[in-house]
Amino acid sequence: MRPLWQRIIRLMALLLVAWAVAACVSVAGPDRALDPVAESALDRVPDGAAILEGKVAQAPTRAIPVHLTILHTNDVRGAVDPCG
Amino acid sequence: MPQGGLARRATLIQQVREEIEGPVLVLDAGNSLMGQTLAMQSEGRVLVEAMNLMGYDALAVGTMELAKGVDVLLERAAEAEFPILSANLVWSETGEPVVEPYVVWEGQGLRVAIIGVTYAEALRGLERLSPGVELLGPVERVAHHVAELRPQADIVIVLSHLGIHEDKALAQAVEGIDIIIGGRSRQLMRAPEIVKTSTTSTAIIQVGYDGEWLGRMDVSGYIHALDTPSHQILFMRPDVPDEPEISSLIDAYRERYSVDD
Repeated sequence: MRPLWQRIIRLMALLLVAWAVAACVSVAGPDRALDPVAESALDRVPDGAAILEGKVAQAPTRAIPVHLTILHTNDVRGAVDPCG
Repeated sequence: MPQGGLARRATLIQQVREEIEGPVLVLDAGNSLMGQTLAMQSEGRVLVEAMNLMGYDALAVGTMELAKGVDVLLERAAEAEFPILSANLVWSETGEPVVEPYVVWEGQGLRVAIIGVTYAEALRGLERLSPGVELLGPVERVAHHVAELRPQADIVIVLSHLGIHEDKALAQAVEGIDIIIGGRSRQLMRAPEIVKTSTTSTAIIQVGYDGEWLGRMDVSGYIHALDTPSHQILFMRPDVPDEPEISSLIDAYRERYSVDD
């Protein structure tokens, strides 16, 4: 069985590692004040996403990217040839 | 410097399709099938055939789609390879829509609902040509279909022949519309006008008249969290070559109807 002092050091090392991991993953909660830019970004965060150090982490089932091009005309009024 | 024309437009549409890897929708907000001589004489056939060749995805019913009466509209709708849409043009006796009120376009993983809506006065002066039909209030009909389609569509587009002021009022009144492709006001808009409600940001756009300009809107972002779309006007000046198949089509119609250039 290890001496007590070694067990204490081992426990402290584990706590240090756990703290380091937690410090790298910080989640903005509702009771944390956000600056206006970050807060407005939340308006565009899809459901299920989380803020990771200012970047939006995508929940794969809901945050689906969109790329769509729309070409459009209106009031052509039967014009077949160039006008104007 | 004359600009526009079907043949140049076809070339630009083809160029954009070759450039873009993602989905491309081609839409017309109405008042397009008839008006000038060849289109009137052919009762809109030349425009429908050209739009078939260009691969249009939908057309809204506007005043000129009703210029020769509802029977002619239905003939053109049967010939069109794209849906001709109106959520508020109905048979008076039954209240049923005369043409499809909407279409759900699916492609490359995207579901896009496109609802057509017609200016409520579009039949004024044309009633004798279209007995038995009427135009209902556009806002209520659009709201009805948006409520039905929003849960199942990634993007909701209204293809509107209402006019810019009415489009803004529609966007304020009906939550859930992402984009309004409009017309009737014939405004040449470089950038969309954005109308915000508590839950929705609606981008509204239209591009002039007489086929002189082609609008290009690029939509990005995430489903239910779209960015403000970017927009540019594509000009069809003489340096844009004519698409030969469309040119031949127009020549054939000119010969058939004995219409000079």
